[in-house]
Amino acid sequence: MVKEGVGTLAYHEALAYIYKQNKAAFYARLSRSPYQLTDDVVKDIYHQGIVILVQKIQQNKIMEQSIPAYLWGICHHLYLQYRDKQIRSEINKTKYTVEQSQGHEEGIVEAQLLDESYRQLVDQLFKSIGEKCRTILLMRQMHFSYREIAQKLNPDSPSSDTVIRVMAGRCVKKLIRLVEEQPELKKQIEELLT
Amino acid sequence: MEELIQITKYLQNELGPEARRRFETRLASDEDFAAKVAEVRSDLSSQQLLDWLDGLLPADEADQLSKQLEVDPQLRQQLQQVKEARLLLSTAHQNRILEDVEQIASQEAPPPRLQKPRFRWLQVAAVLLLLLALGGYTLYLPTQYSNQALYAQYIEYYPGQGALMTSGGEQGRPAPHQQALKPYDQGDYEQALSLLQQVPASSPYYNDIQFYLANTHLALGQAEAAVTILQDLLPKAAGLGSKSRMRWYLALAHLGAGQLEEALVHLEDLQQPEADRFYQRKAEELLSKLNSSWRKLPGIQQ
Repeated sequence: MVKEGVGTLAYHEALAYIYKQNKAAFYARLSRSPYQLTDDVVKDIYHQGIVILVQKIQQNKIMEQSIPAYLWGICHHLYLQYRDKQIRSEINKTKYTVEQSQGHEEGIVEAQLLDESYRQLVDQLFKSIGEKCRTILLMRQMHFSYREIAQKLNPDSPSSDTVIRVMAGRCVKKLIRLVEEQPELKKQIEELLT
Repeated sequence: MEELIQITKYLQNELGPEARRRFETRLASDEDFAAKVAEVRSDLSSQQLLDWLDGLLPADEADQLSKQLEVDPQLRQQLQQVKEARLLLSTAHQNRILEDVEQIASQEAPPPRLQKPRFRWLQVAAVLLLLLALGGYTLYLPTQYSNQALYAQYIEYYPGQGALMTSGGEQGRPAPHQQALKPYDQGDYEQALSLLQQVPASSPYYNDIQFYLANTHLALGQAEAAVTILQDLLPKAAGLGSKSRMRWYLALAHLGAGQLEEALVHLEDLQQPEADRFYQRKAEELLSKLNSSWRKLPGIQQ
């Protein structure tokens, strides 16, 4: 339901179920020692954790795993990232330089607590590529096949898989061009990728 | 649209011999048309790279693309741009889910925070006094202050999902380290042990996998094996967080193996100002329990 019915009642019910089912336990766990987080940070971590979980489900990347255990893994990872950021900012204040925390957490670009301003920039940019491109790229993000995308775009006379593939590629290039025009956003993306 | 269909058929080698000949004649004589074909080829290539990164490309196509990437610097440059677009797409996707999550959250009352019960220490003190008064300290205190009890209170197997999200299985096949961490996450430590031991030393995640191997030994009650692995990993750990994490788990492994003096050395090291705050705080808490006067009572430490 989380994958297939985006925008439908079933999808919202499934999402609300996952959200509510785990919330009390996660808030309690993140609120206790040694985490010592404010209410707002607990909320941000939990919400982002749910978002990544749903994204992974939609991309068929979670199989035969306990949802609470997977969700806790994501939230714990987000917490470690938040803590590293806090430590780095404190260290910068006192003008010391240290190596950044390294480990198996490196290279995970999907699971990040992102700034609100970055999210808004991405939203604006994504809106400017047009509705058709948005539909194609979002459906592909959810790992729908080209045939399913073609069916969604034109149920009566769907285009061939290859034509949709070309259209998707064209939309990706449009995004790339728009990013090139915004050096500030490009810099942020490059930083997130490193 | 008809033209686009023709071009895609040509690029996919789906045109008949006659149609192909006509197509190539036009391609050679019509510059505008040639530019269109080049554009479609580049569109297909961008999408192919994106599908490859998402593990959605069929295995034979993925292998061909990997080989092409090795020899084509222009394609590698295009890959970098596609990676940026992919990150942006992932954020756009997340933004959309976040809107739904926030809508659900807005319909709910704020969650209760875990409140520490007031006067809890009074209750604990009363219980302890009662137990002591009854001469029951020999039953209760070892479960709180013995080496094994403290080890059990503090050990928390490191979550493996972070590593599962890393790259490595991009071409539709999970990498060995991803396969090995699946049973680990599911709590099937026997199976995890067997798979983790098979990850080759050439894997870019080898050190991380060794860390999970140590955690698996701890979960199976094999603290001494965990000590050996962690002692080897500690000097290789780079960065503040990683080094402190390794030291913390090594201290716990020593404690679990009944090697108190060695555990104390690492816990005290974690008290240094350069240690990671998170593990510093945990080490401080554990040290205070290890130095508790309750442990001086006979029969408590072991």
